[in-house]
Amino acid sequence: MKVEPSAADLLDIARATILSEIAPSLPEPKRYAALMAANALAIAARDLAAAGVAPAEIARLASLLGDWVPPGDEPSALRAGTAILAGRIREGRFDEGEARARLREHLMDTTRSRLAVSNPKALARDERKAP
Amino acid sequence: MSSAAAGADADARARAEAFLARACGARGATIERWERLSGGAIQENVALDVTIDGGPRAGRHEWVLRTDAPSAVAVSHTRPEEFAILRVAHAAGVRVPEPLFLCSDRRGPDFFVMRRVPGVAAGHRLSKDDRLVPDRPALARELGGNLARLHAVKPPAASLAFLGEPAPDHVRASIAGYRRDLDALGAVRGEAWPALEWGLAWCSRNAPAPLPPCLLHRDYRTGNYLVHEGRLAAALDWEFAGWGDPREDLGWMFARCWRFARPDLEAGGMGTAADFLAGYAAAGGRATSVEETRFWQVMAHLRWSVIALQQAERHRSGAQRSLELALTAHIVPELELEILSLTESDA
Repeated sequence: MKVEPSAADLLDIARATILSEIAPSLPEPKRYAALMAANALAIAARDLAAAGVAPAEIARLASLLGDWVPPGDEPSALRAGTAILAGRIREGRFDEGEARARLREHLMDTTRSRLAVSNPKALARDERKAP
Repeated sequence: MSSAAAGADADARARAEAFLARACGARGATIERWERLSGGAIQENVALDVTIDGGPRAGRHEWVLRTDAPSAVAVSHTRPEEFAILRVAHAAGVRVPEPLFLCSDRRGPDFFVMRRVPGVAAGHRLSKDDRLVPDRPALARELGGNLARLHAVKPPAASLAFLGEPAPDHVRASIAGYRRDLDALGAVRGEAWPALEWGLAWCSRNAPAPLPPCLLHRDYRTGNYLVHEGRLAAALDWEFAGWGDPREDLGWMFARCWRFARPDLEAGGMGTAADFLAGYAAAGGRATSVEETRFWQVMAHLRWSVIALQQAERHRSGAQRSLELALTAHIVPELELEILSLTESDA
C-alpha cells in the first residue's frame, strides 16, 4: 500500500496553498511565478487523471491506419501510431473524401483530450461555440 | 540582486554614460535612473533618465537602452540589425520609438538607445479596460494604418542587406520551414503533431498566389505595441522583421491567440478586422477582405505552435530550465483546436 494522501490529493492541496496562502502576499513578478507554479500543478493533476484515454486513441489510430498493429505497451503504441499518422497526412493520404472526414474527427477527439489536460477553459469555450 | 550582478550593472551603466557622452558630442552624460523594464525573454530593456551636459542634446532625456538578455537565442536579429530596421520603419512614418544611438564598441554586448514612449502594452489590460481604449474602432484603424506604412517599404534596401533576398514564394518557403522544424523537434522529443500536419496540408492545398514582398514586422500583435491616452503610441519588438507577403502580418494580428479578453474582436481584441483593414487600405495598404485573412490566420497558428514547441524544448533539453518555457508546450493544443476549426472546409 502507498501512503495516502498520494499524488492527486497532494497536487491539489499544494496548488490550493499556493493560491490562497502564498500568491496573494507576493509582489507582482513573484506573484506571476506563483500563479504559473499553481497552473503547472493543475496540469499535472489533470494529466494523472487522464491516463484512461490512451486505449481509445490507440484504437482510433489503428482504425485510421488500417494495416498497423499497435505494440503492446500504451506509450510506445501512441508514439508510433501518431508518428505514422503524421507522416501519412504529410504525404497527402488524407486530403480528400471520407479519409479526410474520419481523420478530422480523430483529430478533434485527440485535441479535445489534450486540451482537457492543458487548458480545459479553452475546451469549455469551444463547446459553447458548437451548435 | 547578487553583488556580482550589481557590479555588472554598475559597469554597464558607466559604459553607457561614456558612450552617450561621445554619441551626443557632450562634455558628459549622467544616468540618474537605470531600471530594468519587464521585457522579452530574448531582449532586455532598461529605462534611462539621462542628463546630457553640453553639446546639441544638452538637457534631460527619457530613453530606453535595449540589449541582449543573458539567455538570448540565435534566431532573432542582433541589436545592430534591429536598430537598422527601426531606422527604416521610423523613416517610413511607422510609429516606433525613435532610434537614437547604436553602440558596438566591443567592450560589452551591443546595445542601442531609443526614445522612451509612454503607454500600456499589456494585452489583458488593453482588451478589458475601456478607459485605456475609449474608441476601439479608431485604435483598430490606427493599427492598420501603421502597418500599411511599414508594408510600403519594398526590397531591396541597402541598410537591410542582412535580411537576405525575399523568398520567391513566401508561403511555400514557410510551409517547408515549419515541416523541417517539426521534424527536428519530433526527432529529439519522440513526438509528432498530426493536427499541425493537417494544418500544413490544408495550407499547402489552399496557398494563394504570392504577392510582391514587403517589409514585415512578423510579431505585430497586441502585447507588442504601446497605447497612450487611447491612441497607438509605438510598435515594439522588431527582432523578427523580414521580407515577405504582407498578408502574413494581417493573419498574425488577427489570430485568435492574441485577442486576450475579447475573442470577438479579431484585430487583437481591440477592434474588428473590418476597422483594421479599413485603416490599412486608407493608408495605402492593399485592399484585403476578412475572408482572405483566414488562410493567414491558419499560418499564424502554425507558426506560433512551432515557436511554442521550440521554447518548450529549450526547457526540456536542459538548455534553459524554466517553468514559463515548460508551460508554453501546453498552449499548443489550444492552437491546434483553432487550426482545426479554421480549416473545416477548403478555402
